[in-house]
This record gives sequence, C-alpha cells and structure tokens, in this order.
Amino acid sequence: MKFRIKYSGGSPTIDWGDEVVTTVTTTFTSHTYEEHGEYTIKIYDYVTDIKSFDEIYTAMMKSVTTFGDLPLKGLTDTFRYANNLEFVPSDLPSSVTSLIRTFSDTNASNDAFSNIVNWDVSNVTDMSLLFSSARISIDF
Amino acid sequence: MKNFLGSFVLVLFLMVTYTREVRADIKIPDSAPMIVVIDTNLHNTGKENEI
Repeated sequence: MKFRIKYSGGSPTIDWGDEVVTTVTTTFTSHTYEEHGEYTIKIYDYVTDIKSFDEIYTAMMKSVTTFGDLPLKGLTDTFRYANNLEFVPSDLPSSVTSLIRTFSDTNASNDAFSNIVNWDVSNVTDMSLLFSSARISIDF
Repeated sequence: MKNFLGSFVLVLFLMVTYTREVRADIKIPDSAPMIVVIDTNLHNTGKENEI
C-alpha cells in the first residue's frame, strides 16, 4: 500500500514508521508499505509547507499529533479530504502565515478539530478557502 | 539469454541491497519531527485505495 506526501522546502528526512528512513529531494515522495496497518510517520527538518497530494492519501490520515520543529510557513491543503482525521495539534507554529484550503472539503468528526480554537493565527495573512465545502461545526 | 537474465537478476539484487544499506545509514536528525499517524485501511466513502 502506497502513501504519498507533497511538500515545499528542502530535503526532509522521513521515518515512515516501518523501519524505513529516507531523505528525499523532490517536492513529493511516496512510500510503499508491505502490509496494511497503522503507521507513525515522522518528518524532520526543512519542510515549509505540507500539502495533500490526493484525497486517497489524506483519507488515510488519522492524526497529526505535533508539527514539531518544522519551519512551516503554510498548511496548504494539508487536511483537505481528511475525512477520517481524529486529532490535530493544539498549537499552530508562529511561523505559519498561510492556511489556504487547509480544511476544505473535510468531513471528519467535529472532535477532530476541537483543537483549532486554540490556534494562534495572529501571524496568518491568508486564509483563502480555509473551510471551503467542509462540514465542520466549531464554536469559535 | 540465460546469461542476460542472470546478470539482470544480479544487478537487481545488488541495487536492492545497496538501497537498504543507504537507507540504514541515514541519521535521524535531533530536531523534533512532525508526527502523522496514518492507517492504510482507511479510505473516503466510495473510494477504494489503490495498491
């Protein structure tokens, strides 16, 4: 089973959670798992924007527990079509200035997005289509 | 033809072995990573995952 990640930035090191670690130089990368199951992927360094690649792959996302120390500037399409998402971090990195379509077309449970209310978006300058066509009910 | 196939298989074996060794040499950075949990069994309604 394949999983893909699309991103901007330098050459991150990715621990795919199945004892395979790669350093990639392209703007997207994919990894093939030998067996179906749950995997914890760790993405290190350089990435400035995590973008969804295809709704097939964002549908596999169960949670993002932390953004770590990534020098993120944007979360373009990051959770788009992430209909099975259960958890997002409660802290948004202060370096993030763009949330374009971050949660658009999402139909996950409201609990998954309860942490969004804690995000400090004071440095965000572009929220274009942030919740476009999303089915989310959050009391901000 | 057999020699060609034998050489092809040998080269393929060496490539796979080399790739695994390179991957094993990658050092995990000390910085805190972004952590994403996925389940490859999950898919959006009406859409099956590709193999």
